[in-house]
Amino acid sequence: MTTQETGTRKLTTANRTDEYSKLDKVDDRSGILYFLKRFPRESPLNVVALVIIIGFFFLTIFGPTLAPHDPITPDTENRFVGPSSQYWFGTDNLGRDVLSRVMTGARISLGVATLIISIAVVVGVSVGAIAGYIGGWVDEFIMRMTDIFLAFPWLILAMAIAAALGPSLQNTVIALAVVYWPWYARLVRGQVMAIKERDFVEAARSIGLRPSRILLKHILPNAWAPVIIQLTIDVGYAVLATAALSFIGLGAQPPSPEWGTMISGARTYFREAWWFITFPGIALSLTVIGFNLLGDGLRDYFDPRTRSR
Amino acid sequence: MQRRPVPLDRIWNDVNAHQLSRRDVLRKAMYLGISVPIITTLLSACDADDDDPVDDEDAEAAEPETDDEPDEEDDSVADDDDRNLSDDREFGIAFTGGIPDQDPQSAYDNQASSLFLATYEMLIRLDGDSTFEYQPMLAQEWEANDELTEFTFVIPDNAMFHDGTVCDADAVKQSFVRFHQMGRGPVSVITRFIDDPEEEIEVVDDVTVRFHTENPEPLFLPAIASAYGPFVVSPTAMEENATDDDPWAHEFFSQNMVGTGPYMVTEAEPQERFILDRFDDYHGDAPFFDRITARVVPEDPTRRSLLESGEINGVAVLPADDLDALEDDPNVQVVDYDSTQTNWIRINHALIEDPNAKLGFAYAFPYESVNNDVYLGRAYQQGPVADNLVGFDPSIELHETDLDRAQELLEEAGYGEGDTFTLMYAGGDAPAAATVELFQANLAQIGITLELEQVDRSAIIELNYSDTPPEDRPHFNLGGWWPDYNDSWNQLYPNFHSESAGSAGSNSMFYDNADFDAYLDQMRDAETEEELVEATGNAVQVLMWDDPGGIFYQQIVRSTCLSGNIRGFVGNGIYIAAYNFHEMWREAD
Repeated sequence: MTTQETGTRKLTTANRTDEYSKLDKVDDRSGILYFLKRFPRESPLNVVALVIIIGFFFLTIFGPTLAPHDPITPDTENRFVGPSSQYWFGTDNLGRDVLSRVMTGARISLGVATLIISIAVVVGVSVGAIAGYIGGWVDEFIMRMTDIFLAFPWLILAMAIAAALGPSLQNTVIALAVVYWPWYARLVRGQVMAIKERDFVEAARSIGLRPSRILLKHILPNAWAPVIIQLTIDVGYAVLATAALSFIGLGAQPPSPEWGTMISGARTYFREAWWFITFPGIALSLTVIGFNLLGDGLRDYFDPRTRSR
Repeated sequence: MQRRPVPLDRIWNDVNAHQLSRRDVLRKAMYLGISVPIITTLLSACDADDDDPVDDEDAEAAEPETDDEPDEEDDSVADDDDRNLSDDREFGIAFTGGIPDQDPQSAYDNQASSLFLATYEMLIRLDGDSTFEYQPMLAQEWEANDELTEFTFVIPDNAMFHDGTVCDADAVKQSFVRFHQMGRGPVSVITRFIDDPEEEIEVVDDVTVRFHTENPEPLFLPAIASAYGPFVVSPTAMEENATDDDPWAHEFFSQNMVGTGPYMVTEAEPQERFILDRFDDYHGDAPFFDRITARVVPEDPTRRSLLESGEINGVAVLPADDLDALEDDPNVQVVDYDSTQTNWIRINHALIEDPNAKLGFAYAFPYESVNNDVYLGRAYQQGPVADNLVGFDPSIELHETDLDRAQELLEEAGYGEGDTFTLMYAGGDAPAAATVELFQANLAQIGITLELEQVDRSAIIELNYSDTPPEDRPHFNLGGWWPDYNDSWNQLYPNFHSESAGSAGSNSMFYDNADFDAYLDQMRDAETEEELVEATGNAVQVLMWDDPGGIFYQQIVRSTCLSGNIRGFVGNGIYIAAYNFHEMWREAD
């Protein structure tokens, strides 16, 4: 098959493979407007997820500006003031406003998590796509590399890397990105291996397109759905993992209001000041729940077997 | 309001009014005669109750004695008949971390020392809360000659090690030879006084051992009573486990305790727990508790909860907020005692050389805020030498918080806005974390960035005692110290003398000042207390003002928390965070 009529339009060589790939797609749900219109209607939980995530991303951008008090400078005369009209979330052991620290901490926790997953996606998708498309010994080599990383419990591996590099937020990003990329490599490799056998890819190959163009223009755009679902869920886990490393002293260091650092510092005082540990804990939980709900919603949205209509 | 007449008044009034017959008078007199002895007996019984040693112990536990003289009533407490003893003879304590090294002549660790005080014995120990009065431990008698150059100890003829071998005078000598020659950890406790242990320690007979010193040594007995090093270990166990590479069997002793103490180890998981059971062949009076369990519980809230629930009975380390809360708990007693511990931030002598810069940092520290708001008044500002140590010179001024002066001095030294420094501290210590954050905030106000590096306690100990060059260490680290015995030289020498740098001691920031070293030598050789005070004052003047070796910010009041029914505990400013297990007991409910 070298030509095909679509309405009154005659396909040219340049655009024909794009049209093939469109025809080969399971469903045309890629338009952002269509998504924004349909996704909330799929389930009330999707609305909850969007509200939570948009809320926290709002805090990520505007939190430090909107914080009612200085989140860093101690004010020991006001230590352990309970929640009140002046301090909605109370104050910590050094008299700092917990609300201001939670709001400011959103930028660190969410920003770091987003950065970790971005690095992991870029590296993992690139490596996985190459392995899946080229195959052979390249595939074998890359997959054995991922096996090495996946052989260790992810948190233990992240702790080991962070401990070796030294405690800091920067090293936390490196440690967690190293832990996360193999998952994306494996996921994308599988997708690419499946898609590269499809007709529209064969067609593109037969008309002499370069492999890189086939991969970037025709295969990867069709492999994104599971990656998006995975990364959405992983952002939540990355927030949690960042907090976990900070909790044990390997991540953000004082006076950073990163949520894990806050929880770590507050655990000694939870008997005297419940609010000190509770509010950053709630923020952390909400974020993880929000991203998990979003991930679940996206999976249902993109999966024709589970979609509601 | 008219007072209601008492019977005696009424009798007297009735007699005067002639309203009583002789028979009435005799009858009432008989009642009076019978009732008075009964009432007197009852009152005597009440008085006797007030004198009950149990209550004395209550008072003692709540408020340690300040009198150095031994309390005679303590002796009466040792008599089981006078005490309302509980049937529960187990005692549980919580440690903040594991005990990797159990060799008593190597470990320089207060938690390990608190176990050694149950499983090993020094020749003598400090008595009660005194730092210069002693009581028998392994030795039952001791004496010094008038010149203080000969010290003779007599041990009981029935002393046994936990491995079943006899502890005689020769075993004591071999143990001290090992302590001296092995040269680990607290070795300066013995090397200060003894140069050649083979020659200077004499076995007089089976139960008598004599130490000869070259010079008069008024501090020999306090040093021998230190809980760091001078424990007696089994020479048989040493011989059986020695190797060519390890002639002192350190490897064996680091994992096995073989002493003569009233308790022997029956289970040891160094990072989890130790179980000590009463040693049946102990030469002295049997202690009250049959079993002591020491658990590793790193989290402060968990230790507090375990104490409140009664699952453990003793905790020696809790933050001030928890101590304040526990003081209101009727089932817990918080025993405060003066300690010789001072806390400081060491300054890296190689990375920050200019004395002005060091002084500038000292001016930037928030002394009042840390002591009042973090330690809630359970600490007060002090220099490197505690005010209850011999040699303390009160005339040396303390630093004060003055950010303008700090900025001025730092600028003179070439430091200014945008400069970054690093401070390392051990995690798991909430007051320490708050302290360094307050310091960080003060420095931020004058444009200096202080990066905090929280690491595991074992990591900071490993770095402190290693030979890692100072250039590879942080600018500051947080620490504190109390001496092995009551002596200002012993407080300063391991931490700041140039010979103690790196693995040679605790001078982890390689402080090196020739004047300071010279003053320390004068302190060591001082023959009178006046000389010692003068030399200590001079040394502290250098260390705080002329060329600061650290930021000295507090002396601590230590607190040990116990279950409400535990009696007999006495805190000692030298045996910090330790327990006098052999004198403690539990009162029946």
